[in-house]
Amino acid sequence: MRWFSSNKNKLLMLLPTVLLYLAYILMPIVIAIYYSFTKFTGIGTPQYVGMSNYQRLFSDPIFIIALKNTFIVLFVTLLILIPGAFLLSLLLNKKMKGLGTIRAINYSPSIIAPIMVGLIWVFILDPQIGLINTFLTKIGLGELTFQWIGGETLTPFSVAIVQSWQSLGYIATIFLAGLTLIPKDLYEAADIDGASKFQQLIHVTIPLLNETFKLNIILVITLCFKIFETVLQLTNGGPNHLSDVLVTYMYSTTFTAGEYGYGMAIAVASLVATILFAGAFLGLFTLGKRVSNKEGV
Amino acid sequence: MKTSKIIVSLLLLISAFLVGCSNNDSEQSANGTTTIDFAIHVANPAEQEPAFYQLIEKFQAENPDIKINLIGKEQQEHVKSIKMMSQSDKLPDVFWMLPASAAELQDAGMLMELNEFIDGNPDIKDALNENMLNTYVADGKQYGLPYQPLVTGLFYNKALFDQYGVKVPQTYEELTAVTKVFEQNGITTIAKGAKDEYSVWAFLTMLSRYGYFDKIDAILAGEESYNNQDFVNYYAKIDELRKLGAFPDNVSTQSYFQAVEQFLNGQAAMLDSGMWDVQKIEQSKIGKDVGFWWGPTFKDGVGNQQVSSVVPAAPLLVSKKVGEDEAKKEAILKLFKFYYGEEGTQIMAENQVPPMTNAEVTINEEEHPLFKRLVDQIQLEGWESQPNQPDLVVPEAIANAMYDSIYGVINGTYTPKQAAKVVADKISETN
Repeated sequence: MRWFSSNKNKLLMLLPTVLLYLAYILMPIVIAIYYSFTKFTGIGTPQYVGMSNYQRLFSDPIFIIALKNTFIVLFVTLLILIPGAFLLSLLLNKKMKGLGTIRAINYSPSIIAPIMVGLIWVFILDPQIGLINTFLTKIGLGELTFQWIGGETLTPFSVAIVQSWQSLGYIATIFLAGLTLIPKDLYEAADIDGASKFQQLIHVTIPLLNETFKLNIILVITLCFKIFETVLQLTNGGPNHLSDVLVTYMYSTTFTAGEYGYGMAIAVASLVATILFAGAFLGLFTLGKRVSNKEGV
Repeated sequence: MKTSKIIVSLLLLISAFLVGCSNNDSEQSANGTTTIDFAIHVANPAEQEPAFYQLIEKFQAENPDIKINLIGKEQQEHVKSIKMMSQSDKLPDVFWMLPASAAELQDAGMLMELNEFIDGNPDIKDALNENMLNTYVADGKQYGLPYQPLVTGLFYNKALFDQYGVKVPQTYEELTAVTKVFEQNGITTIAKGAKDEYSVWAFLTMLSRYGYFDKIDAILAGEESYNNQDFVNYYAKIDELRKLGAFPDNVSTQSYFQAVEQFLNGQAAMLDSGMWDVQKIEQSKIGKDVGFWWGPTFKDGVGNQQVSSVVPAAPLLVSKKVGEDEAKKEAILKLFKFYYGEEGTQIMAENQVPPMTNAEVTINEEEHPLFKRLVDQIQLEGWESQPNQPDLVVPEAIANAMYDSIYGVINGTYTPKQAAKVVADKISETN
């Protein structure tokens, strides 16, 4: 047993995973960074261009639009998804008849391929043939019909709603797992102390789900920074890139326009933005915790 | 000892795993049979490219010592795959490629010259239309041959024109007049789908009527700007059509394939498309009532206005490595001789692909009325084809900016000046 748990053996057992991680995760990132400093069409030898692809990012109006759209999708999704999934998990945590079926239905959008989700929502959101505008027109509320997709402003908001719909069950399931881990004694003690259900929620449930909230928010951030298929299916980034997000713009620049170097600069910028955003959030979370601990003292 | 054995085994396992992901070299001249790897831009050639597929089948039947291994992938996937293979010097023997990338492969010295084939077959050289050969020549080297001719324009539903008492237009002014009539009657004049930005064929030919080919070399050389008055006038015409309601209300969320359905269902009077849709249209309920038009002429256009569009499609290329294998090279040149010869041209015509040579082909007008009309338009007196499609003579990035600019005006996102500037800016960036 001692032989088995020696440091050498631990390293040996980690080696296959580390090698695969290096080959399939880190190496592509390093290669992408290398290409981001080149002008390359995918054929021939890449031509080194220094920082010019990165400089171009700041003067490229479509990149700015894609970045703005990604942030709109992120903020709206966070606003809908985190409270929505938390409230849903509270409901799913109640004892009721048919709970298993309800939980399964609630999780079902998460197992549909995103490209199919996009297709389903085209039939709901399309301004001309979509369910929403057709319904509004039929009941005499034609003035409330909008260009939910394909217009100049609303597409990222619609994408956020679609993303929230798809991920609600998944995020709620993680909250639910967190809820089941909270000891029942704490609620009994709070009951004895005369705390209302709302007070129990604020002072027991939410503080004890601190780490679950953190995990879910990080998950939502990464989900939103890699949204691709939904946008592709809803609008393909159109009209004229106005609904592009970072990944769709990176894809069209790299593979449709054949600008591999610039496309990789967009990919690296997206990676950096995701890391910075997730890091900033974690920093704020830790800071908030320290402040509340100090106040507690 | 034990530990080192485990390490070696693990490394071998990982190497085997990584090596397993790479492609094997193609089979060559095994058992007296020469195998040609032929990579094509559609996933299912039998269904999606029947003319090509039947030609290959016939060739194999006539040449049992040559086996053609067709490798089909959806176009974008195919292009990516060819680019990846070019990086590891493992190009397939023969392959379809986008024109701009083909020129880059030639610059990188990865292609076999086809001068030997052209010079060795004067009958084919003389029969091929001039632009079919000239397009894929660089420094006197023939590096590619057209896959097929590319014939694009506007299909029109004659029944709808008759129903609303309007004539099929010839000029831009006539087009605006019929647009007003169709708009009043809830009919879309030109079915289009901006979700597939490349679907602007007839509009690219219209750009040729504003002197595109007189200017493009100077524009790419930085001596002239794409943002010039003639091109702004061209975009202004598209803008005027938009304002008149010529395009579908949901053009920004509609795909090209939905636009085709819109036309086939009789909801649109015209469709911006090309020869590849002939079979589908002929098999539809409106099939017998459809005609083909090259698009409007313009009073403020530049140069010849009677411009048609019979240009070489993307080229077929041969990997340079083939030149080192005499048996394979001979087999490929034999295939090309069949492909561009009379028999190949006839097989193409039977599958509604117009000839790219001056060979006489038989068309069954009863069965294929639209194809006959399309070939009649190709042979129309007084009309001259543009040398190439405007997007096919510029790098992919600029071509995409051109699509973006045209749909930008159709969607109402760009003004004519902004549209011209979008392309001009992309040209500056690319240079």
